[in-house]
Amino acid sequence: MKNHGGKRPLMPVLALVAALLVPACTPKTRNIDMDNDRAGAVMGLDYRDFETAAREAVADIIRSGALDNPQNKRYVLAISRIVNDTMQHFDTDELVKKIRVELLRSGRVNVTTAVAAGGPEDQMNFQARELRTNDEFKQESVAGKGELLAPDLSLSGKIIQRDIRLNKKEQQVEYYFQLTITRVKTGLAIWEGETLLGKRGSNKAVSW
Amino acid sequence: MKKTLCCLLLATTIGLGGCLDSRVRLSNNVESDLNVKKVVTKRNHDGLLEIHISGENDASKYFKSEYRIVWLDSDGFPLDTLLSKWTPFPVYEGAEFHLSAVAPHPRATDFRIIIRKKED
Repeated sequence: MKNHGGKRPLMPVLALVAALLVPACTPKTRNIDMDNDRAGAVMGLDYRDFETAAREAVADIIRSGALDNPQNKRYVLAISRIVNDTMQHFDTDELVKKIRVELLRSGRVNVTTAVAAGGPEDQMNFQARELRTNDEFKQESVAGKGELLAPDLSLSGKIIQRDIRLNKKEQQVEYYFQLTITRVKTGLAIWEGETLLGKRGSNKAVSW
Repeated sequence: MKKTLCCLLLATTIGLGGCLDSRVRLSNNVESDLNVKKVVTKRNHDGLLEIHISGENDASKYFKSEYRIVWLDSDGFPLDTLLSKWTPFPVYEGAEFHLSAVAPHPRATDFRIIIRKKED
């Protein structure tokens, strides 16, 4: 490289300085310790909030005895509509899956994937039955008619967000996790629960 | 009647000075403030193990604590459950505190609990 007029080229020096500085300023990527995460709160909903809401719901459902079947059998639970009425984009399964897993483990319910709000969760329940007309399949291994179980109970709910401006600098965001278990036969709610999570922080923090 | 009697028989009350129940552990950051007085366990009407722990906050200020319960089966194996995550509870200044929990499964026959101060 030619050095015109005795001046040193500036660009390579700047690039070198930037290359040395950037790694020092960038936070290091690390894994979250999901069992003992003591990091500060965020204004939006994170996995800790879904865990809290699910844990409180499950503990209350179990404590209430609502799933105690007098016939000593597991109830069949269908997942109905869980509405995300917040300003954030997330899959409500972040909440529902945790509740389902825990209720299934508790031995109180079986969750059906053949009936759900908006259609069956697992289409295979019906596709596998189309094999009844296919001679290539051993017919005893194909699901017969009248074997699917209708749900006894249905889980529905809503997640609501409310933003309140406290002053010029601070805002408050409230999240309501409202869940209901309904006995399908009667349409009566046998359990209802609400978990409220509140957060306060800078107006600059985004909660959507 | 028989069920109630059975529940009563299973209920155990243990008086504690500080925290003498080996199933309850206080973390260093609450040991000087919290004083566990009573640990009660029983089988509820669903056959689930239920615990109730009460004590006092000797400190002169309110703080948030949290507890983590490990539910154990009859062989001493821990049950994998969401209910073993850290759960916050309030401790008011110079007042009693109470915490209750129900096991997620009838297989739970014992428990271990640790209590610590919650950091924000």
